[in-house]
Amino acid sequence: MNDLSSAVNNTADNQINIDHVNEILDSNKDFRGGAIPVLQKIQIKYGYLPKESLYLVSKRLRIPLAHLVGVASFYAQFRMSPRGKYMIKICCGTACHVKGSIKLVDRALENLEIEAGETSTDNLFTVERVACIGACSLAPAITLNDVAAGHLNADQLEKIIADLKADGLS
Amino acid sequence: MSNNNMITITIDGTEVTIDGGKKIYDACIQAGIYLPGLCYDPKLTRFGGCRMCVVDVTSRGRTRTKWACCEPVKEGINVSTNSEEIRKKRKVIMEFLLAAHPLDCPTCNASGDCSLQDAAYFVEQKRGRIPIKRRNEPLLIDNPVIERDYNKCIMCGKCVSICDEIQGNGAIGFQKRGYWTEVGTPFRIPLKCDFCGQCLHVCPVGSFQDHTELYKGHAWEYETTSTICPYCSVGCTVVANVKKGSFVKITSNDLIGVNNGNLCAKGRFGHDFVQAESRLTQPAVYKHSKQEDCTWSEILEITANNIKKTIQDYGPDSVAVIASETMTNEDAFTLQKLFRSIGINNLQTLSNLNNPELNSGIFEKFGALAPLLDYNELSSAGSFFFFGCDASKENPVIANMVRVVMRDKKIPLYIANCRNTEFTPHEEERILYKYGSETHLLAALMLKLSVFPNSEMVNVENPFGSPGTTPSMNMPTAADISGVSEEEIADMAKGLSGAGKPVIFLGKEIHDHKRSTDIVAAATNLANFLGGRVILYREYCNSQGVNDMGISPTHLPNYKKVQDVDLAPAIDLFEKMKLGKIKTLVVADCDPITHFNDGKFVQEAMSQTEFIVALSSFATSTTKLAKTVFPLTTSYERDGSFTNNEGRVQLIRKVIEPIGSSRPIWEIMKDLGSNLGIEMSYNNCEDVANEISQAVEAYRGFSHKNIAFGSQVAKYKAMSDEKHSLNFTIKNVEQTEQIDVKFPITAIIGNSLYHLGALSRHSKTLNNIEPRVSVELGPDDAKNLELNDGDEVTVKSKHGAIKALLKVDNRSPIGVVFITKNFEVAPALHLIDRNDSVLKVTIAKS
Repeated sequence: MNDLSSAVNNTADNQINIDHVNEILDSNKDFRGGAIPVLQKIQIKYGYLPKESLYLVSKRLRIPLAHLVGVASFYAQFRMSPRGKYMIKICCGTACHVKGSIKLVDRALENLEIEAGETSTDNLFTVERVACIGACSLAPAITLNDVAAGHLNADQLEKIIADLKADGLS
Repeated sequence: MSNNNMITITIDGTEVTIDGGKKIYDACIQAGIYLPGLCYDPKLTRFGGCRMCVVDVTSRGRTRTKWACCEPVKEGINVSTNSEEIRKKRKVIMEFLLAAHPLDCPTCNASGDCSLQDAAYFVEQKRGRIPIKRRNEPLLIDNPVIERDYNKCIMCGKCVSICDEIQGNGAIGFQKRGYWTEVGTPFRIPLKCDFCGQCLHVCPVGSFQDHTELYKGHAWEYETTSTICPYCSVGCTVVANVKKGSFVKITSNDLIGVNNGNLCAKGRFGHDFVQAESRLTQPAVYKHSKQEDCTWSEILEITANNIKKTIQDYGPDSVAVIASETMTNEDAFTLQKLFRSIGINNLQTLSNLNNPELNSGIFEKFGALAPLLDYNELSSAGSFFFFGCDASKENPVIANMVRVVMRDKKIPLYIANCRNTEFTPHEEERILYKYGSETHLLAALMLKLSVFPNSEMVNVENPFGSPGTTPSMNMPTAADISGVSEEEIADMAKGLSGAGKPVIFLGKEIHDHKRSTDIVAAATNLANFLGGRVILYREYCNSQGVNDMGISPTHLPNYKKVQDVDLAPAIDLFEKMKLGKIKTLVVADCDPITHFNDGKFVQEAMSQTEFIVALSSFATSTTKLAKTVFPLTTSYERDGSFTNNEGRVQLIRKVIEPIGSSRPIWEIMKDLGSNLGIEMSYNNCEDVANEISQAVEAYRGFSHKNIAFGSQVAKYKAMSDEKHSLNFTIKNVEQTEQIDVKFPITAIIGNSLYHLGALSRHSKTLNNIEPRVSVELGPDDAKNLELNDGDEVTVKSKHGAIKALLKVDNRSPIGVVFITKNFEVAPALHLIDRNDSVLKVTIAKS
């Protein structure tokens, strides 16, 4: 538990300040064909790709918005909606699947009253199903803000969520 | 890209010789061999997505399966398109395509005009082994014309390519991934684009459909006729689809005409004026203090008697004619012939009244440098320079052609405008100048290029002379007046000279400009120096032809000069009318009150005229004042010809029977002639055309039989072959007069993308897209004036006021607004004072 909470950084609830996007674009302006690196940097800054930022990137890189959003929606690495303070990725690879990862997913989604990929209304949690994270020995495994945890059952995951919720509200 | 290297390949045993830059698919088309390809379109970038064009290619003894659309032709290769192996492969690919395509053919509007249907039939693929999985996406109807259905999409990408490469919109793209990929707008916002319908033209299935013609007919029920679009001066070929005598829709054909299948919203969707309820169907005369329907013989007699009497009592100078530039060559020719035979020479068009030097006087003023250009020459341009020109709104299909050349030849684009007009979502170089400083900017570009004898100072009245006692101009003054920095001017000059042979486009803004002749002359000098050309857009479908036919007080057909008539008379026609000097006015197919500057003055002037004869397809402000009203056919109900921007004479053909008892102008002129004692022995429109080919030298050899689409270009004889520098004056319009500080915003009035002239306002579809007059204001100005997008505003000038809808967008820089014209209910041209050079307004919430 301890190692998980230490992994939490302040990626959530960033104020949308479009100046950062301009800075990112300025620092990339000599790099042709650089839409993806720009989007990546924006995602690192905001935790997702705010709509306003895509409008601005489209305008400044002279890429039609429909095409830019096409790129952003193609790659799984880009998120188009704000992510919660805690990003829970539940591995649904073969080993985790066999070890019951579906139960983890179901419980987490039921507990937070969201669909996979969505963020809870309190902006604390985002739950995603992901393909194999390469931690089969820990199956069923999750990552919480990029730190892995394994050998979980549904009850343990629910407790992790409850603890984090208490932390988040305090 | 072609390398002009002809090579020979063998396809299914037949030898085909083809340009070495082409692909195997092109060779198959040339050889007349059908490939069931779905994503291939010769005018778009290769996509290679559908895989249906698989062929076996044998080269140096080895056979490989290739996609015909992506595989370049190579000398000596042997292509097999129909082997057992290929048939099997195609069948499997089709099986997969059909697994994700709902077989809704019985209720699909595209049935019968569907490449997928054709291809599946060709490969004999029935329902396959894979169960059909429907996406069950809702039908998207978020705009008046284009309906989208993601379920039917086969991901061929043609719509995405055409929208980006040719239309320059990029409104749609591939969203998401895998099975859930959709061709859609970003974030699924409603489609907001030019509504050109290019996507539904290229869509091989029924994923994009024309919302206006759903369930009105199947492809096999239509009779199709190719004719010419009656809107702008590009001269696109449209294909009219008629079912049982009723005009249903317009499609386009990539293989005929100048437009390569491209059309804009007006051309494709704006045809429903033909069968609009507002059409005039009966002749009417004014009696018992109102207009009453009458017979043709009655109206002809009354009109002829009046003209006779007016000439008798007041002389021929008391009769005048204002003709539109949308009538056919045949109409224009008979009109001028009739009126000139009875001594009436006062024949005008609205643009001639506005600027004779750029219309009937264009060959006189510019000679060999007249700003006309064959569209084929666009492909040999070194660069494109749009000067004061919003091509993508004014002549959208020319913009399409330019984007294609830019894509294929990597030709740079330069834009100089007083507004941020859109042209392409991709690379361009742009400068933004202050309205009125055009001649300064062009002179500065030429200064940088050392066109003038003196390298630093230019004489403003005679730039090619040396600066002496007259005022002069240099780079810092030009930069100051135009609001463009010296560096920007220098960069653009460098770019233009480096790219070589620019084609300079001058837009409507320049045409309507008070200093237009100087600007055109300056731009012509610049082009001439760089070895390029200038194109001046004319406004309407037959602006060129009507002038060729001599609808001008100064020029007879073929630009023969009329003796003793000044090109620029001291007082114009409307001033004469106001003074009561015009007793009878014939207005043919136009409405000066809505479509001429200072409409209020025009209306007052026309009210002074005792007898107005109106020829019109629709009720207008002018027909209301008329004593006799002749109902006219539109261009879709008759034969004839239009001459486009290039001087290309193109045939228009009868698509449906005339509505009501409407008739074309040439017939009316013939009958009016009989009543006036002038016999014209035409049996049909073709007879008129034959007479034109005799009387107008540039149209020699012209007849309805030999002007199949785009085959003939009028051969204008330039007044001189010599290309010499044209003199012009460098003058800022704002310098010339006192500007009233109460009206701080410069307004530019022009055509929007969806409305042009008198026809579009009678098209229900175009009115649905753009129902009312709008004012485009920049975001900074909007903030200062505390106005928001969508507000109802009143635009006031010192001369008048109109109510309009506010659009806040980035097109307008600070202090400049754009107002759309053509709306008779709020005519923007009424804001203009005929004596002013620049329109200044205020905008406030109403």
